[in-house]
Amino acid sequence: MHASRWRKYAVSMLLACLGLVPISVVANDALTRFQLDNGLNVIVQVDRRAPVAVVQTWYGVGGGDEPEGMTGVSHVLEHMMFKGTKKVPVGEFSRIVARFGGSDNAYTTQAETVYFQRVLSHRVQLALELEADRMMGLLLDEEEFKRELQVVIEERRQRTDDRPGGRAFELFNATAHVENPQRTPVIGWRHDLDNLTIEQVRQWYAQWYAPNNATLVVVGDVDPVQVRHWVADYFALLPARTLPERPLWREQATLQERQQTMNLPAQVPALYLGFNWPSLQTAATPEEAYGLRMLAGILDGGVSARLESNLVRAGKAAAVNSSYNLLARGDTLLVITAVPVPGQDLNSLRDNVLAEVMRLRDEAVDEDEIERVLVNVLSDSVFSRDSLDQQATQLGQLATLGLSLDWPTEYAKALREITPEQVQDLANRYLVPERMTTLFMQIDKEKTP
Amino acid sequence: MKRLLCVFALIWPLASMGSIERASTDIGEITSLSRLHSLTASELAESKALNVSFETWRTTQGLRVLWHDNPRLPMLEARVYFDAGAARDGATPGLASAVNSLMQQGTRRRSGQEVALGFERLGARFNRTSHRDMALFELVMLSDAEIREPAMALLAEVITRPAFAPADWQRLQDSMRVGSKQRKQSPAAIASRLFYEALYTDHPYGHPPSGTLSSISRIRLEDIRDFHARHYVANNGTLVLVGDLRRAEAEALAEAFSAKMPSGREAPLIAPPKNLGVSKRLHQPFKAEQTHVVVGQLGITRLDPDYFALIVANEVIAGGGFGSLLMRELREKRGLTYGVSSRFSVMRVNGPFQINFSTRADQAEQALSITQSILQQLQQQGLSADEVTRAIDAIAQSFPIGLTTNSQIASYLGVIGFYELPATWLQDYLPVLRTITTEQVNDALRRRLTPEQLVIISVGPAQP
Repeated sequence: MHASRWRKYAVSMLLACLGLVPISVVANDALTRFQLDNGLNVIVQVDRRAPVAVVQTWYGVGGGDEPEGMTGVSHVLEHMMFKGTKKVPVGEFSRIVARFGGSDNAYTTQAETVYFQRVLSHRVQLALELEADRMMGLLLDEEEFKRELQVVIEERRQRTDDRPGGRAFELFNATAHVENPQRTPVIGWRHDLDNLTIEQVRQWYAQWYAPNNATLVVVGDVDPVQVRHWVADYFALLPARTLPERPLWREQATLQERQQTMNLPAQVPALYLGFNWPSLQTAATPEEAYGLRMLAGILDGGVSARLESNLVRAGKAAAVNSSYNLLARGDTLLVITAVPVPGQDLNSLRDNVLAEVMRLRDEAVDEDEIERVLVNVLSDSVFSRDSLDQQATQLGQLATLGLSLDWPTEYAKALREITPEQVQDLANRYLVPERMTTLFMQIDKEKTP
Repeated sequence: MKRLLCVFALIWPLASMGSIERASTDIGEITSLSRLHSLTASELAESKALNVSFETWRTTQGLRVLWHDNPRLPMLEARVYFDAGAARDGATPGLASAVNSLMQQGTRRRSGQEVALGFERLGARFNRTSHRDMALFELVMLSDAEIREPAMALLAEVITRPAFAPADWQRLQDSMRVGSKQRKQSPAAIASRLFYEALYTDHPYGHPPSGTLSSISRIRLEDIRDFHARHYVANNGTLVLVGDLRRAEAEALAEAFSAKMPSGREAPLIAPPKNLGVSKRLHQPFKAEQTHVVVGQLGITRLDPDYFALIVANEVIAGGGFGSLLMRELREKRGLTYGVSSRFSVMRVNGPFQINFSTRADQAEQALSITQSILQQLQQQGLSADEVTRAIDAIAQSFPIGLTTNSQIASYLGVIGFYELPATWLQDYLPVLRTITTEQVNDALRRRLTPEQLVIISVGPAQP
């Protein structure tokens, strides 16, 4: 078969699998979705490969919701969620989960706070009881808070303060977003953490943690009817709350090109480039967001994509990476990071990267490249079915954004419709200097250890 | 630029017990169990039996194959392991890693770009990596014959017919140099390198797998070709196939895959490392707010008679995440660190046992002395019967969770094939684990833990 026929074959097989995969794994009632009277959203996906399950609890609150001076409070609260309720005292939550073979953790993003447990399927009931217990029952003891705050400050040191890349990204992010509240770090500014009080954490908990601001996702070897009963047993009595308004996060309509230089005690300089882009939620039309996703994929969707093949393989950069999250909450960024080859200065690296990026404005892409991106997106989607975690995360994210759970199929169809002309048109509107931020991370030779 | 590696290597006996902060090794009961409604309801429900059956054979060329049929997803995961890791570097650290990386950069018929396009047009995901023991290629694809056959044929071409072009090697050398510098700005990476160097000295595990600036420059293309010809051979490899594939199909696929692979020879045995017999403490100055600490000693092999006893002990020390001893003492009680972990890296010959954490520089000594105190107490007094039972329960129950996906199953089969473990190793794992007694755990701790002879590495601001 000829190369492009191979790809068409792969596309048709992958598309078939996207729809078909669950059928061999699960029953017809594979995916169930319901809501309790108190507003709790519940999604159950049956997957009977092994006697295990994943339970995730998503709360619609994150770094982007925090007012000035209180950055980091969502993430501190995430830590405090392990610090005891009346029923399960401090230090016991994770021990109980582990006692019965499970593991648990949590993470906070700009848009949400997510708690997960991986358990044996006959412990799903326990997982649900534990999550229900801490949804509104936290003690939030002041002494525990003070100690945990030190842990969070250590986490900040480890992730940000002691990592040149961490510090550079923090400043880059604060420069690239202007009005968008995602400009502040999820872990919080250091001074805000120092000044955070237990009262602020209690108020944050009271404001956002309620069944009507949560989505529960269960994926694994479970009986959906049984899960429904358990969910009702443990969560139905929790009261709904009046939630704060949560407008979509938008960026200023008229921006100017921004540039920063940082001198850091590092060994390897780096370049950060950003373009203010809308997400699926904020794009003028869904087609526009899908087109931007295509544009990002043409630049960097695998090792045969343009940035890797025309820059790294051509010796014009040591490494280039890019990211664009179509499913971000509100307006977002296309971020490109690059590392120079030995001896190359950051300006010439930026020239190389921009030349490659701007070529998308001048020349139409190949149909072939569009199909390559499609194959990549499709295989990611199909292969993620191997992992219960990834299935649960995808469902949780779709539900939190208010998208249909069948969205992956819709997404694949939309990507197929995109034309080279659309991609070029978007490049000319979204890869423009006004939307661009540059951060040069240079080596401070004086301070380099 | 200032000299980067001014390591102050000091060898001295560890601080006497008197100066070590006391910490309890008794975790205690979980008080809330009786208050949890769901436990009384489902306490007796037993986990369903777990059956991951596989078959193993050799192809005509001698490549070992392990195959597990999973018809539930129309996918196939293939992994190819070679005993071609950094332990085979010889006098040129970084050689094994260079060979493995260069193999992605094109074959005699195709450029690197064409190889990448070749996998991508089939929607197959290709990865490769190398560690101290092994070099590994991984391919995830749809199991459909029209996809799997060309994808595996391309993988075979990558493995048996690499181009090793001079221009690609030049570029990779530059990239390895950048990588080497990047690791120098990471205190965790520096600490890990120093730890292996101090613990293994001139043993094949002692040098950094990614090489050093000077060793990278010494590697010649002939070394790369020679290393490839010797190590990437059928008798030195293992192929794992997990997915929607029947036995006859797996046999045909493996046979075609290895048809052009020279038989060659298995790599020679690696000598076991020697115990240091002394403690070593090294501090590497590094400008940062935190100090990264690695504490450790020699550990175990996969077929070690103390394997199960020490895996159980590690679960209690800091292998079990939140709720384990060190996590509770350092993080939950004192807020000293974001995280602390302990692990036995199980390798061809004794891998390390190590504990890692990072903490604000002025707290490093306190955290270290608590850690040492706990190791001392564990070695002398051991664990209580309750703790051992809880740890065994936790490991046994969590086992199925780690054996769910094609990827996880392929990992286990890879370990079994690569380390030539008995075919019954997986099915015996839980029954053997269940026989482990508190006496066995404490006896192993007494004999194997050497709190008086630890390697302790710290990377951070000057010691107080």
